[in-house]
Amino acid sequence: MTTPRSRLVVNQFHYHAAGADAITGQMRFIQASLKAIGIGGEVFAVEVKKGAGDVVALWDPERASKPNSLLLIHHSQGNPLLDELLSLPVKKGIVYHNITPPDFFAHDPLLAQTARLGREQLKEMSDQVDVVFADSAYNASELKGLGFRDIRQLPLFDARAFQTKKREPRRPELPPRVLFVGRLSPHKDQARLIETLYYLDRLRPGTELFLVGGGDPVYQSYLKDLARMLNISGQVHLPGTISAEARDLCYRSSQAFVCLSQHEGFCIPLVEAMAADLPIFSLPDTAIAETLDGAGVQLNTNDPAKIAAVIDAVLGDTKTVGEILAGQRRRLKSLERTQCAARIQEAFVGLRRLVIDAKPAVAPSRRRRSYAPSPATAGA
Amino acid sequence: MERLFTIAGLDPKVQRGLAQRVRQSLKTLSHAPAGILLVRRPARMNRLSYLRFRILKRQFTGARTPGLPSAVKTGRLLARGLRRMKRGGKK
Repeated sequence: MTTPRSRLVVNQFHYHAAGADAITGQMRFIQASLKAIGIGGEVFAVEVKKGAGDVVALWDPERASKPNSLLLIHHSQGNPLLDELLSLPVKKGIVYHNITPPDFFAHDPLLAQTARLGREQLKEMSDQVDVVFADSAYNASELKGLGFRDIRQLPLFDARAFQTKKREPRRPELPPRVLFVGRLSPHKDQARLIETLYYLDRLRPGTELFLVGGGDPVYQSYLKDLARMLNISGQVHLPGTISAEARDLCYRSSQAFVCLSQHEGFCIPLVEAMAADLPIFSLPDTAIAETLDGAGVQLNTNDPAKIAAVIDAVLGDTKTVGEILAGQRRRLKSLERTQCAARIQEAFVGLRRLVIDAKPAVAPSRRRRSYAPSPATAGA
Repeated sequence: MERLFTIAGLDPKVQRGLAQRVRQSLKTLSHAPAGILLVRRPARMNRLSYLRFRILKRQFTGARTPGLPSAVKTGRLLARGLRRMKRGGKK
């Protein structure tokens, strides 16, 4: 089957695809939003994990370089295939999701190297892509600092899918529960949450902490040891990666969502917590303040004892909790204006001219390291 | 006292009341055992687990862990342990 000459095709690539991954979710959202206005395209990945769905295809350079197509490269870490992608004879775009600084991975040289490579590649890409997208103003500002121009913001998810659900009141005989959802990783600082629980347990005895998410096994063993050291291992639950239904149940059965993460490019779990009508306590680092836009409780300290005292004081005041939840509902409603299919469609309709009316794209001559002598010096 | 939290649009009177409660909670916590310092090995943890925990703590938090052996000393201890194993136990 051949693609009609005048029809724009938007293909997307990310090295990994997984079921509960925000980037895979965004790729699917872009694909579905564009399909609704007649723009086709495929989603490609090299490592496709279970749960990624049938819409993700294994990387195929021939299918990705058909005429009239734009290749959107989602960038969140070092990409071993970047040279190949940039040499394809099609127009290219980047969607930047931010890269965790390598300093957080001192314990894992491979992870640190992947993060370092991702940041180096980002610098190289600034003059090799035709369209630049970021999924938050924070990510856009990082790109601007690296010399990217004409950066547009692209929705990460469909906010209409996050309707505020009424939370079941927790039975008084059950212990209070605090929740955080996110990959187990040093930059998300689950260790500080465990230290906070140590103090919170003294103010609200029996409080439980649920740290939902899989991830770094070394960090996970450190978290388990830390809970043992503090004698609260029975109250710290690390269920790993769980189904969407089980995650919803965790949101519904908790009293607070606490996020002490030090680096986020957006943080979708905050949106999920707002939809679950759960009061949020968070540090305003990186893109977290932008995602919440004043909603929830902003913590101005990272001292676990002080954080525990704030959580205890706020949760003890039902009127204040009501006001916090009202603010979060307003924020969730306002996200519907920016995180929607219409924004994606607007962004890509304008690109039709860039991709289709442009002269046939020729594979750019990629600058490669050459060890052969140049003609000028050959005879020297 | 520093402002420990911000809730947008909250009545200043309510804010002051909450700050008062936070101060009370902190007073209660000042009597809590300093378990968070984690400088002593708890009886329920063996020496190897404790050493691993402290090495990881230093890597993840950058915190100084007093008494943690240097890489050279750890290497010497391991070498001595291996020699003992070859001999077939402590002699």
